[in-house]
Amino acid sequence: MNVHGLPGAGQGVPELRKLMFNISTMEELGEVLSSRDHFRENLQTALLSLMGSVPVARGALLLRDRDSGDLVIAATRGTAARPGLRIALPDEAARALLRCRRPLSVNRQLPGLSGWIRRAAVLREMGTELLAPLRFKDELVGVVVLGLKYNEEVYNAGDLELIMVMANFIALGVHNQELFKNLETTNTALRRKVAENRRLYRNLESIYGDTVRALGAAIDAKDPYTRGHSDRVARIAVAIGRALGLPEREINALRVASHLHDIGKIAVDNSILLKVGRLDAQEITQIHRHPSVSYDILSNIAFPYPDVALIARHHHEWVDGSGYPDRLGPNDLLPGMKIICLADSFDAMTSDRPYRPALRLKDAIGRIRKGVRAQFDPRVTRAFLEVLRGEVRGEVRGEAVQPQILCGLEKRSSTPAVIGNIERFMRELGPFARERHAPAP
Amino acid sequence: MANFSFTTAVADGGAEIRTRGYLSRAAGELLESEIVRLLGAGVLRFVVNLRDTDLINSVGISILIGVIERVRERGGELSFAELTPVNEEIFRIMGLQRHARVLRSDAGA
Repeated sequence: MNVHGLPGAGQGVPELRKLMFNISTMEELGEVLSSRDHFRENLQTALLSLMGSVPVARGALLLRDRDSGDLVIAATRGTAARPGLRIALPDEAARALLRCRRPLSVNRQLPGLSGWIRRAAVLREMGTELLAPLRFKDELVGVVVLGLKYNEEVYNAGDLELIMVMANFIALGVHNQELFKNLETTNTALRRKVAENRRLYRNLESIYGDTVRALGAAIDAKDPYTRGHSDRVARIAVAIGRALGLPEREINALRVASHLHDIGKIAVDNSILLKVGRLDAQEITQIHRHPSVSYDILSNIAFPYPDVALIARHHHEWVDGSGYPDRLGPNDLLPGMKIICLADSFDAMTSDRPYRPALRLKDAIGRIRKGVRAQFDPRVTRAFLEVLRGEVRGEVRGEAVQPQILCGLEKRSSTPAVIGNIERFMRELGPFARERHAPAP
Repeated sequence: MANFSFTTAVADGGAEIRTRGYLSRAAGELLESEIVRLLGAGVLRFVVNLRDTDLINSVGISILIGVIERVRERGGELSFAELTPVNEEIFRIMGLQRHARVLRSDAGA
């Protein structure tokens, strides 16, 4: 609002004119002090505003340093004293200023203050006539120092009132600025802490992931034909999980379960694992025990992700309920179990075995097609095909696709015929909807 | 400050500065630095014509006081010309006319 030109404020009514000028000044001062930016500049504007409304030619605004208790010049006008200059303020003088409810003339005898004023050479050099404490509640945040009035009159009651109101306004602005600064400092410290924690967490996750991977590799090393199997299963399973839109916690569970799903094979005799010929019933029973053994081992570990041991236990369950060890039906199987079942089977199909060489990709797809709805969940199969098609397409176009499903066999499998094969299969399965989950906090 | 500008005309060792727009802090500081520049160039007589400045706030008054003091320190003379009635009254209340002449027309430079 600008009130200089309001009706009723005509010439010959100086009190009214001055009042309106003061109102306008207060409004502008409020605007300046409520701004968070350029605070030092705003203090200079506030000082000019106060000086111009009295008016005075010489003045300064000093803020109290919380640590030392000194007054530090923050803004000046008409004096040689420069911002940054310090004036020691004894506690006794600070307490005396804090008690003041009105600006003080330095020429009066002021208990607790006169000695300090006499000793503070800077105040004399600035031609100090009046001191207006900047108080916020019970705290002295600074002082405004003013010289003689420019119109050569003495300070009257109206001047003192105006100066005190403006000083209180400035004190509030200073206090608010300190609050903003504290808030920003706290926020910055918190942000730094959160970033540090995230970094530590990522490091921890990485170490954890490496440990799990190493353990998986150690399990695979028991059998030369399954070297790298757990790692490939993990990649395939994670790719399917992402295509299905599983939440990150479940993806992590799937990754860990994939690396460790065959840990139960340590209980299976090597002669069975490496046998070239057909397995007898006893040997098959022993092989079929490995998921339960995996579960027994893994269920003793407090994983940071859900159902790791259960997923490992049920990686050989079929959706028609004919799998092992518990012959669970489709409604009892968690998504992770259905995914790992497909990932494990696909990698087994496309890897060399003692009793057969690795299947070609199109033959593996044919096997999966035969097994869908019996061994494999159609929705999981559809997601698997999506990822597989993406990788084969990328390879055909010559793009550098990070293999997740093709892993080691991409070079011998990427042909347009395979893509046609995959797409036909996808059409048979129909579209599927990706799950949507809120991102983890 | 977007709505403030001024022109300077220097003749016979004097300068007339015509302002246009609201005289606030940034505008006042611009005017002040122009006068400091002219003082440095040896100009000692100034007329600041405020005909096209309707409004001067308290910050502007403060800066004008500083300008008056700078000119006086150098032994110069500063006058204000063609103040609007409102500004003239503000000048009178604030006592600026005690330190600088207020001219009714801008013929004083």
